[in-house]
Amino acid sequence: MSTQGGMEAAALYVDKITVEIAGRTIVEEISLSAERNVVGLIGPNGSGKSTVLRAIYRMLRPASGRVLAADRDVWKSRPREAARVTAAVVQDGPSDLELTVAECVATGRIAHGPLFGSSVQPEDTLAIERAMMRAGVNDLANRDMSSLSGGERQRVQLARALAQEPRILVLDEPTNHLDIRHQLELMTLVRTLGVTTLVTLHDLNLAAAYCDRLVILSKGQVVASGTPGETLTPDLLLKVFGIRAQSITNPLTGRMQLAYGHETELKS
Amino acid sequence: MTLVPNMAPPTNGTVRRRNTIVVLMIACAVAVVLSVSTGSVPIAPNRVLSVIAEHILPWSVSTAATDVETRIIWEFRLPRALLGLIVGASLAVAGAVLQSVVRNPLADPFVFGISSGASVAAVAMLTLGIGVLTTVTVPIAAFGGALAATLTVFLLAQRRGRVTPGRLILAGVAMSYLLSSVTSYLVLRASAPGQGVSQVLSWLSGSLAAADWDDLGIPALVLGVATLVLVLLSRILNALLIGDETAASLGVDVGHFRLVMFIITSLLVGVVVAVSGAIGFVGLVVPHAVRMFVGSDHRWVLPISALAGGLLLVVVDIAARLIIAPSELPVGLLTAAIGAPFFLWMLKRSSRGEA
Repeated sequence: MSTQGGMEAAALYVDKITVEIAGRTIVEEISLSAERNVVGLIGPNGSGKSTVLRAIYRMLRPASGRVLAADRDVWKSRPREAARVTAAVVQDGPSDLELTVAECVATGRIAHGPLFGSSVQPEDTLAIERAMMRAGVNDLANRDMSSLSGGERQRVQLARALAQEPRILVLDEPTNHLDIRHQLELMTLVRTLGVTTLVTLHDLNLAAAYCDRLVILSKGQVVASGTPGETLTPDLLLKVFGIRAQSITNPLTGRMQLAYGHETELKS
Repeated sequence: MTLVPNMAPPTNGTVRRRNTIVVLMIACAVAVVLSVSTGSVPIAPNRVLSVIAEHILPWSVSTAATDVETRIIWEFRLPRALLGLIVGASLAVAGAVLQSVVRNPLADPFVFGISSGASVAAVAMLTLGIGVLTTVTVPIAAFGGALAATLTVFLLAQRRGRVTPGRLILAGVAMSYLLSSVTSYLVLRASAPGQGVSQVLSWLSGSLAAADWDDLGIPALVLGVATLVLVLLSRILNALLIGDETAASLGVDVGHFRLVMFIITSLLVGVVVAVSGAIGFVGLVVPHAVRMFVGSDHRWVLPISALAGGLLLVVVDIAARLIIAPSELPVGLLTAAIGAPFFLWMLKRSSRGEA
């Protein structure tokens, strides 16, 4: 994969993390790794996908276990140090106070340069422009975030994450609320970035088509990991997602896909 | 915010924002001169200028003003006008920061109960005879009260880190009521022996009338340092507008940063409340109007809000002296009269689609 923009993929290891919220264990002793590829984290609602990501981008400190990004313990690094390695596109609710696209992408430079730095350095400008080009949002620079479509907004968040010049990228359901064309465009874009990527997805077919490896979570624990072909078996899909499914080959792309239906509507 | 896409290149935006700053600086200077010439004894603006020039430029000699005019200008009206600038600027900057930190355009030092917290602490010092009353100890007490009120309202208003408008307003209003009843109690309690009551009453309603030069130093210093620090941290304030999750991923220790911002805004509000009482809604109206005009980037919102807030309060203070002349209205009464309808209008707008 390409490493344009001076970014080089780094390894991500999640080592037996347990995360509790208000005394309740959300994920327990989860381990996973990603290096130079796109890893999908999938599982039903409430299985702990977003919680695992929060422990990686320093939103939620694990009760035990370690997160290693580029061989450094994320929770023992300073926040800005960690953010120079790992960037994230997450789900924040809408706000009544909105920035322009360029201002939003510029926040990606917080971890770089001095803490008290309101003036924009030449390398910041360069990184911001390059990130906006790669995410295809350079034409939107002066638009208000509130005036964008869902797909545009998600690409701007991706540009903001790329402006961090990360070596690891974490995406929390980036295709949520996007129409089908924008889902495919976004996942195609993610595959071209060349950084280690961990992405949570609801759509199993997107996961099968765009991820090199999948980690499947159920009730806060890893129940399977491997290539889409190895993990998305009919047995597992029935056990974890409660659906009857069969893997087929997409006649248009030649990639693996799932045909599924609810138990009550299956023919035999 | 505006939905009209602004397709102008970024340099135009920068030029416009710079021009805004220059225009506001000139307007502030003009407003200060007009404020000094306004009063029960009107003094012509050219005399005002000559007296000011005489004091700050040692080589300028003769002045057209009489001794009485010189005293009125230099000892009473100029400190008052400058205090108006400082107080308005501090409240507007504090409002802009609070709005970013809780990601809610309805936040304001008054709505948040910060002003009432500062008032209680300052009134307690004045009436209970705790400690020594100086231009340093009263602001410190007011800062303490402001910080305690801020943290309490924030803790009550948040749910899983998110501050919803409804909870913020309920918590803030409840806090304001509670604290003003404590303030009233303290005033009534002290009014029997008649100690410090006139002082207390002058700023309960929010007034600049008692200003003298000694009152200006600490608020000016706090305003200058705080604004500088905040502008340097403007990228982080911008990140908080996107959301806590994103800010964390950008390398911001959100909880820690928010606490630091509460301390800075409490300091800004505390020291001005100690001098001028609780003047409401400046911190709400000004940043909002500024954002509509120059966008939400804090690098510009903060300095422009400071200038616009100072200008607004000086102008409103002129009006407060003219409306029922020769008597004068407390300036806080007028800002509330302007600000409260504005607040209701914003509440109506922001409550769309939110529980």
